[in-house]
Amino acid sequence: MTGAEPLAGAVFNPPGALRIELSLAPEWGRIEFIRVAVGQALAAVLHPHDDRIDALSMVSAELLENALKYGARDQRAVGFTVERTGDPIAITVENAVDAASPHPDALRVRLAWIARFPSPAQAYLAALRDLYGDERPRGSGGLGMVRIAYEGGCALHCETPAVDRILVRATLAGPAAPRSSGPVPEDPGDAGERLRRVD
Amino acid sequence: MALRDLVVDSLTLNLQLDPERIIVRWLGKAGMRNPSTALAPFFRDLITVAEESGRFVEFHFQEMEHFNSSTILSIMQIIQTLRRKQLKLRIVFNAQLKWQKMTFEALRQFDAGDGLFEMSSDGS
Repeated sequence: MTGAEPLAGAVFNPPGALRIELSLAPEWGRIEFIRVAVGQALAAVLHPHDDRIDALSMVSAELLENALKYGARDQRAVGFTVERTGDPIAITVENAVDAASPHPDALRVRLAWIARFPSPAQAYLAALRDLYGDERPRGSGGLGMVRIAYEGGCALHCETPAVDRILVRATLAGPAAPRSSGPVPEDPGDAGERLRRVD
Repeated sequence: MALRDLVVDSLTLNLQLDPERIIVRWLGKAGMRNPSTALAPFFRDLITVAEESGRFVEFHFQEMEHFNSSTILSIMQIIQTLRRKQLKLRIVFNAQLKWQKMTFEALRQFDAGDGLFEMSSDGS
C-alpha cells in the first residue's frame, strides 16, 4: 500500500465487522496459527468470553484440515476467509481437488446425512456411534463436518466452482450470549491467555 | 514397565500414579494429522500398566485448549480398548468451557452403566 490508498469500505462498515482473507500454503503446521489468529480476531470484535470464539476457531481448523487431507496432491494454495458484516459469521475454505477425487461427492453425501437429523446434536451422537466399535484405521472418520455442525453451531454449504475446485462454507448465524456478562476488559490478557500464543 | 510422559508437538500427556489410579493430564493442544500414530504406543504401555497393577485410568482434560476430530477418534478408540479389557476409565473435563462440555457430554452415551466408564466435570 502506498499510503494514499484508502482502506476500502472500512469506515462504512459497522463496528464489529470483520474480514480476513488469506491464501495459505498447504502445510499442516499453518493450521494452528490460523486457529489462534481467528480466535484473537474474533475476541477483538466480539466479547472476549463469547462462546463463538472457541467454536469458530475450531471450525477454522477443521475446515483447513479437510482441505489439506482431501485436496489435490499438488495444490499450491488454500483460500481461507472469515467474514462478519452483521450477526452471521462465515468461514470459507476453497481449495483444489484432483479431477477424479471422490471427495466433493463424499462431502455432499455427508452434509445431506447431517441434514437428515432433527438436530446437529443428534447427528453428532449418531456419528460417534457409527465410529464406536469400528477399529479400522481412519483419519477422523468424517467426524469433522458433523462437529462443525454440532459444536460449531454452523450451517454447512459446499459447492464446486470448477471441476477441480471445492468451496466449503460454515456459517454461524445469530449472536450468542457471552459466557460472562460485564464490559470488555481493557487488558486483553484474559482472552490472550485463553488463546495462548503459538510458539 | 515404567510409564513416561508423552510430549508430541503442542500436546503433553502428564502421568501421575497413586495407589488406585493412573492419572493422565492432557495439556495443551492436539492438532496432529495422525494422532493415533503418536498416541498408540503410549496407550499400549498405559494399558499394560493398568492390567498389571490393577489401577484404573483417569483422563483429565480440563487444561486442554483444543483438539481436532482425529484426536476425538483416538480417545474413542482408547475408551473401546479399555472397555474390551474390562479396565475402568474415568474422564474429567471442564464443564465451564462450552466446547469441552459439548464434546464430552456426547461421549457419555458410551457409559453402559457397568461402572467401567465414568465421566465427571469440574463444573458439576
